[in-house]
Amino acid sequence: MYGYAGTILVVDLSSRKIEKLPLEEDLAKKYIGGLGINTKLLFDHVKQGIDPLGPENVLIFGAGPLVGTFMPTASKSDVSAKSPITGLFGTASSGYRFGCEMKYAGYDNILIKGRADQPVYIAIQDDLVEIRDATTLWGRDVWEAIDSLQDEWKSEEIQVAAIGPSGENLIRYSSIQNGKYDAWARTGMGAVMGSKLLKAVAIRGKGGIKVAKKEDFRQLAREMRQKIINSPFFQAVSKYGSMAATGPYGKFGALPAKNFQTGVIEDWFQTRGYKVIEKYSDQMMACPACPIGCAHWAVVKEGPYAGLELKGIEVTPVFEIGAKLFVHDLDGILKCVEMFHRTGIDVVSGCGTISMLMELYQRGLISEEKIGFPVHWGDVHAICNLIRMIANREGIGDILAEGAKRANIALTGNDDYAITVKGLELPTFDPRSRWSVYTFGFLTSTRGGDHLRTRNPVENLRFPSLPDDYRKEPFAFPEELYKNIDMPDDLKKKIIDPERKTTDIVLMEKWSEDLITLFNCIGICTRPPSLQALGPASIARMLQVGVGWDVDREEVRLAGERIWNLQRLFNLREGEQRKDSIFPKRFYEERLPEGPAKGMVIDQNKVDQMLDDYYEARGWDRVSGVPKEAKIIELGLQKEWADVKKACVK
Amino acid sequence: MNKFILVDLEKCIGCRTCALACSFEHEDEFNPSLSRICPLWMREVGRFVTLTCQQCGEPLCAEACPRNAITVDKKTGAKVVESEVCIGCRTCFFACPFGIPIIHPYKGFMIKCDLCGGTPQCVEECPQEALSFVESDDAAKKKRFEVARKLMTILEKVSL
Repeated sequence: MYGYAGTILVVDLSSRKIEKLPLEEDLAKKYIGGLGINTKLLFDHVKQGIDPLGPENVLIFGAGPLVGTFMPTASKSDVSAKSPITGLFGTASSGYRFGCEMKYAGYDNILIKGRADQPVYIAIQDDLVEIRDATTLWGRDVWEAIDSLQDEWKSEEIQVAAIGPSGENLIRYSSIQNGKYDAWARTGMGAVMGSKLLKAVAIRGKGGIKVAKKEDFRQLAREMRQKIINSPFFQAVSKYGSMAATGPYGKFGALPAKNFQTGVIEDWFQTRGYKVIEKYSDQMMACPACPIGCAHWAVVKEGPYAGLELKGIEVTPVFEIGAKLFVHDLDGILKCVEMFHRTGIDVVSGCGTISMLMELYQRGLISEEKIGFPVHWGDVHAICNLIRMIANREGIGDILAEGAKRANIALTGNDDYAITVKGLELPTFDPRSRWSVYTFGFLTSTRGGDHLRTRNPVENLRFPSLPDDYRKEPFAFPEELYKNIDMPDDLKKKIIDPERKTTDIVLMEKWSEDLITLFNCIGICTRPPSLQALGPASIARMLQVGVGWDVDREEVRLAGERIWNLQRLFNLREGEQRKDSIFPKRFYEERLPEGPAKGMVIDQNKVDQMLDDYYEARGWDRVSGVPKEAKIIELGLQKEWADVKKACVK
Repeated sequence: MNKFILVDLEKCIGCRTCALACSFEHEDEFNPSLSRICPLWMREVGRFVTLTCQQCGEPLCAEACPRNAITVDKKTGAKVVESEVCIGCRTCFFACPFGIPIIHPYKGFMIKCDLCGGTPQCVEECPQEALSFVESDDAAKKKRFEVARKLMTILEKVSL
């Protein structure tokens, strides 16, 4: 098998046993790699009902068959475990160099189980794998820990996945940081790592990745690169990165301002719009093999945070810190980002939890005494204090460490101000003012309240999309783009209506989930230029010339669907039910007070109908959302299904 | 012909495609540690600086080589290591002001940029067109134009 490194590394921290298992071709064919193989390993290794923060949980790193090559954007890796924040399937993806380095060192996946008896880190230099003492690293923040490891190894080329104090102290939404500025952030993978007393995985690989057909691979990489560059999204995203979205969501009044109390911020464009990048950065930064380069090197030149330098200015922290927590200026936002990076906390869940507290404070539902200081919207000093207190479980931080929902209940006896789905804090966009594949996906994502695994590849942010006609999202791209979408023709006719210029949200939901799953399996990026340009036909060709398999578009698409369904089975085995796919009360009951979507709420009946239709489109029971026998057989998941049935009956 | 690989520091986004293209061409595998071109992140200036062989006019690597293993490719002008002659003693590495030649970890001889026989793959694959394969005098002319433009703007300000 070309493309793959060919080995799954298994490290048992309890017994200190290290095993190298050959990657079986059957497994690779069925689950492709990266997220897909992680999904299968997690399903097989985690028993129903185990404590996500106990030694029975496993933590799996996975990098797909194209990662480390120059197939454009192929640098992404996934980390998966049972999530301590949702109790369901947990996973997060990240770019930069760690996944590539895993492959160069010779490993497609790294499965870590058990629990060490004192702080350790895993050191990997090609074939040499060691469990090393990390007592001197424990307690250090992520940046210090990375500096210290680079000193110890006398190399800046080592790639480090590390947790900060947050992961050590089992904050349920801790991230694992990927180098200093990137992260596997969502669903609390850092807490799982901390529960194993594992501070870091440091890796240096000097091997190579071979592909099946050299000349064809080179030609295909060029073709794909050109496709991405020709995407209508390329110019904006390569100049402003993900910040290109700050304009539209500001215009739609879909900002999560002050914990989703309003969608409008008056001076949003001047203070937090995409153009502010120009003041901070003239250097774009790319992950390996990426022609887009969506990140920026940011330097704060003046004010109280002068001298702060980091890679970033991403849309998510700007929405989260700038809107949810209402921090007015980019200086302050970048300072908070630094705190999140150093402590190792997921920005989205961190801000969702802090904004819950700030709203309680605003409404007089919690006293200043109980917190220790005032927590007004946008107060950077207070936010940084809270981040530190959460990471160290100091004072009120000990309660906030459990996440917005649990903390809200602990503080006021209800979860009215916890904006979560399945316990995971919702990101960034208000579904009342932006109803789309993206926001309906908050309910359907296998990892709970999250948007990054459910995104319409032809999303067009030039047009508003309010929850009036619930099934439709505007499409309105040129004829040529419609013709070139990498989607089977019969499906394209069902999903996209070129006359009315709309996409069907329910059907597109399923399509995009399976598609993004595939992206995370082979390790390519879901930024709009590549998400729009590439699809299962392109991916099949990549596997043909990269791995040497004779696969077609349909087989590849089916693999994406299989993996999504296996995640669903994992969640059903853990007891997830239809009633869990519900928005926080606020979105059903509180009308947006201002802006273009003034007065809008989400109609629960309409959303329920959509869920029925979505389940049906997935081949699941319309009511329960449990996959039907026919779908299980089509996907070849009989063995796994039997296991779920057994667990559910018990 | 006196061509070399020119790096435009303003354009590079650090995607490392050049390094991957290099090892793929020379070693049939993607392996940055076997690349003859090296993108470096220079935090102190906030720029990526990509280094490869300058194809020097008076190459110190060739001069220093005790085996005379570095010769000029007549077709491209590239300074090329003859792998059968090279003994991997690293003298060229010490002599090179840019630290370019490295030892091949499995094969034992030194490796450095050979301009891929006239079509450098790093240049071909660079998505930002930050690399170009240029004649020395063309590169010089381009640079002089840029300086001239800057001069003009200064002169305009002065004349006001």
